[in-house]
Amino acid sequence: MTRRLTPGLILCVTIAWIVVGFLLAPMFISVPLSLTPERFLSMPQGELSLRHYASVFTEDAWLGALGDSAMVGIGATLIATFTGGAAAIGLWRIGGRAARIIGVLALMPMIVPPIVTALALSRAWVTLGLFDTVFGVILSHAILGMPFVFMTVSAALEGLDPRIAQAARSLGAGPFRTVRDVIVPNVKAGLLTGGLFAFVISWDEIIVTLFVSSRSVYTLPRKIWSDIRDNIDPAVAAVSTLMIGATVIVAAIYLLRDLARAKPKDVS
Amino acid sequence: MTDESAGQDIRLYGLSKYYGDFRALDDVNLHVAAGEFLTLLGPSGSGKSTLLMALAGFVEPTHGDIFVGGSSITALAPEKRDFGVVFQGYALFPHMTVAGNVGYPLKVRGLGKPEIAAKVRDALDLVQLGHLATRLPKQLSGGQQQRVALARALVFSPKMLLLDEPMGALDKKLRHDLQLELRQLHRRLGRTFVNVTHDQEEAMAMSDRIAIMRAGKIEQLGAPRALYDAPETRFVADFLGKSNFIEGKVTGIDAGIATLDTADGPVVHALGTRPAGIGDSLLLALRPQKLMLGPGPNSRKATVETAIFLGTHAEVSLRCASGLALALNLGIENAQALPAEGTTVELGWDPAATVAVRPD
Repeated sequence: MTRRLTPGLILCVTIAWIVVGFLLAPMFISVPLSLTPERFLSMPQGELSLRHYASVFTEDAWLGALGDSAMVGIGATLIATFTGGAAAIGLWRIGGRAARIIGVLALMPMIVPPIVTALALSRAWVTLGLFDTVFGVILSHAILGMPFVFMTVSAALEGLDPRIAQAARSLGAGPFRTVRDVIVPNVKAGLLTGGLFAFVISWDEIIVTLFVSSRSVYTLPRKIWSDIRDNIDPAVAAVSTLMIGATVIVAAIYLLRDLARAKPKDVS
Repeated sequence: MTDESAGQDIRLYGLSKYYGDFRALDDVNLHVAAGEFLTLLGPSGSGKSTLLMALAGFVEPTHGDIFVGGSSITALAPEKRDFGVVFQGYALFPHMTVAGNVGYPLKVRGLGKPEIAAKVRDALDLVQLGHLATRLPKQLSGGQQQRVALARALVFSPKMLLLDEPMGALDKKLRHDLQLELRQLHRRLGRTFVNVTHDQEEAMAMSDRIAIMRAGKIEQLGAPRALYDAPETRFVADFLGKSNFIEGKVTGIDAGIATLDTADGPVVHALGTRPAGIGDSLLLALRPQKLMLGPGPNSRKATVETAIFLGTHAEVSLRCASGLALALNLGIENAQALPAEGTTVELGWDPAATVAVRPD
């Protein structure tokens, strides 16, 4: 509170805010664009309208895209959370060098450029008969989201005494019951954070989606992308605004929860 | 089901555990009697924890068999063994309350809620923690956590209790209290207890018998007193209490008393139950408190290097003419007349004070 304002500090803070503005401002351009009363993408001139929001929630194409995205996102999140969490817990239990090597492999989908994954999956899905199926897209997104769950759960396990798993076994719980009763409750935060990551990744995934689907699966980012190319319907801006709003709300909830949790520590 | 009040015996046959070329356990044979309190004592890396974890089922032996109450449990999963285990660091479940932790083994066994509550209350009363049932482990002190771990390991009336360095993280005073408590608990419950520690005082205070471990083998097994008074090897004589060591060659034997030629002159040594012949080289272990100031049947002149008063006793380090270092403890009644550092004193010991031990 009593920090002195030196010229250096002022310069530093100014630059920081310019950078923040530079990063965030383009994102918010969609807000005014979405409120235009015109039928083409334009800045509203005086009059504001919500008609494009209405069309997002009434037109079948948008609703279908929203539905597809939600279905794919939820499915991918469930699979990624299960597999990523199971991998992290399993490797934590095994430990040692083998676990570390497999741990790096588990992060590969995050490291490999998406275009490479996209190409590989599109070939593989054609062979397996999963091309342009909902399940194929779900599986693709789950692969992309899994490393994030793996990372967050691994981090949560870091502080856990491996002996609590042995303790549960010695008290009569089998291996699966041990995971359910003792390990999962202690890595819940990691699973939730990882799951959220996985969902967000699936929600705005476009590259891999373009390669593994054609007509029957049409997620929101795909619809936006093709709409922008074909016509300049302001509904795209409305959808973007809605997505920004959703992101801000989720981030705010997260931040508030973190602050609430950090508070008692500050007091003591 | 077995009789709840009685412990069960454990037999280990040729138990080995190899990690590559490293032998954590090397052909261990051991019989723990039903209801016995046995402590595995040894320095770190001696295999004592590996042995305990093999009993608990977390280390799969490379060779050998474990029998409990007459049946082999070598291939049994840990959860099927029905042993209570108190882990190093206690391993309490951080997300469960004290009552939740203690009730967990009962919940796993499918007991009803009222029955669990009653047993948890009894177990917590046993360790005097009834008033803390709703706390989380992190809200407890180390000693309290240790008691919760104990209650959790005993609440399901296991066949035996395995303790892995149960006092490791506690301070000395608390450790002493808990040792007495654990000993009483053992007498009261009559179950088989197997304890692992590197603290010889803890081992002596609680155990019926101690197995001293070294390099994956049991070096010597016996009652604390027997081990202390009659160590078989140099390692045991030095690990369980301190010892002076004197080397010599037997030059004569008369009525169970051997005369040895040592670097500082002749020594007489009562052979006791360990026979020796003329010409044998012997290594004698001599406890510091059996060494006395003033002449005795064995006599030596030595220079006082340090003399420290410690309250209950005094410790004097001496050096003989040959360069042999000797440690001498003076009881409280003699500690007032401490010899001055740098002076030469005469000291002596009884022929029965020395024990012949195997060199390493």
